[in-house]
Amino acid sequence: MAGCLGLYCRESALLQNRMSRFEQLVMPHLKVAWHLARWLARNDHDAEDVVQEAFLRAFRYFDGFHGGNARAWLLTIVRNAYYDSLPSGLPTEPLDEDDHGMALADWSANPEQLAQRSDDCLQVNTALRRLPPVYREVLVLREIAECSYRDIADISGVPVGTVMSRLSRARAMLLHYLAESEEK
Amino acid sequence: MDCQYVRERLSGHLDRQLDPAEEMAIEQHLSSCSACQGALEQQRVARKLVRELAEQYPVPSGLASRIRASLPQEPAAVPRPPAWWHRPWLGLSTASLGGALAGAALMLTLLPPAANLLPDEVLASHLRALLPGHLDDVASTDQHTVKPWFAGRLDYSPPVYDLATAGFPLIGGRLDYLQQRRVAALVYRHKLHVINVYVWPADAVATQGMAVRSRQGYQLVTWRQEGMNFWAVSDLNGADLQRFATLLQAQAAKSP
Repeated sequence: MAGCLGLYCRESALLQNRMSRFEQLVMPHLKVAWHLARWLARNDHDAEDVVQEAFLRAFRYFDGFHGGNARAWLLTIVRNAYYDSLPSGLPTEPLDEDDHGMALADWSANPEQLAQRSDDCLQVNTALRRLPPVYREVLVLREIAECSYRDIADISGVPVGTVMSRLSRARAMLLHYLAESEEK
Repeated sequence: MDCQYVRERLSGHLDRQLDPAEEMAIEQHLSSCSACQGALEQQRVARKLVRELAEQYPVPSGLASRIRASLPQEPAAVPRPPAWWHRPWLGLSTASLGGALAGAALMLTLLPPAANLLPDEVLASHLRALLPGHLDDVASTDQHTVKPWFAGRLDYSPPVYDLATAGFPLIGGRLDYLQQRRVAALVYRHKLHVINVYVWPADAVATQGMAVRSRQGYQLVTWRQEGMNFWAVSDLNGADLQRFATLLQAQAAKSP
């Protein structure tokens, strides 16, 4: 009996220790986790579900986190939680990236003109929201979450070379959408 | 070097992420290709626009505390009776006689009435089921696949309905063990939340209305209908789980 109570106390102490490590290492990244979830889900309600689920998972699997980059680790979980929340489940990857990204990327738009006329917050945000998830994700991870290419590769589970080509396409597609919205 | 190859790497060039050899090759190409220079300028503009204009959504107020409140607060995530519960002699063999006597007295006061164990049993089963690979033995969204799967595995036929149109798709079923018997567990999903529904024949036939309780942040809804006990458990909020239970009840009443 005394042994059992001792065990309970020990588990309780372990949990407290875990809680405070979680507070210290994971909770500070709530803001960036929110940004990623919000940009992926594109509305507050679903983003909150995704973030809550991600932190619950992070807490459950916290014992499996052996140091390293807690921020990238959490963002990986947020990304997975988002894709798990979709009815289709899997990341909506274009089947053939070569055709897809390139067809939409408009490499010939006049950048100076674009810089002047699309100095419009609303249009940029609308264009960003329109990007297919893999391209939106890579832009958000790079420009908003300010992740390194290496971290983005780990978070999205692709090689660094793919991060680079996706990012190149994502930027070109964004300008293409902006040019399109100008035409209308 | 073709332009396509270069354009795929323009972001790397702009963000200074290329290795020196590649960097040199790209620069060489850029110096002689005005189309790619234009594309690079585009990359620069796009980067600037996103950095400066992309919305920085503010974190909803109270989100941090809602997250903290949702984390398990108790030592064991899966409630399990200690070893002495089933094998009381373990306690005796390790403790002194005085300790054992005190322990026995304590145990008497700690033992919850048997009926109250069921919610914990159901919740423990739900949590076990969430471990990877434990959720469904038959993974199917088709009630006509799930229902026959139980044939030959149970001595009763559990009612199986798909509620996908109402936002609660059936994702599968499995056998589970509750109250010393094999029971049917049906697995539903609502957005990110998994709902386990346990169904087994009741001792009493009379219909019993819904009872709701919560344990460790999980919601449990239970009722009796058509001679069956129903237990639904999930981390879904109470209102949604009750809505789900009501839908299931209505289905069961429509097609007994």
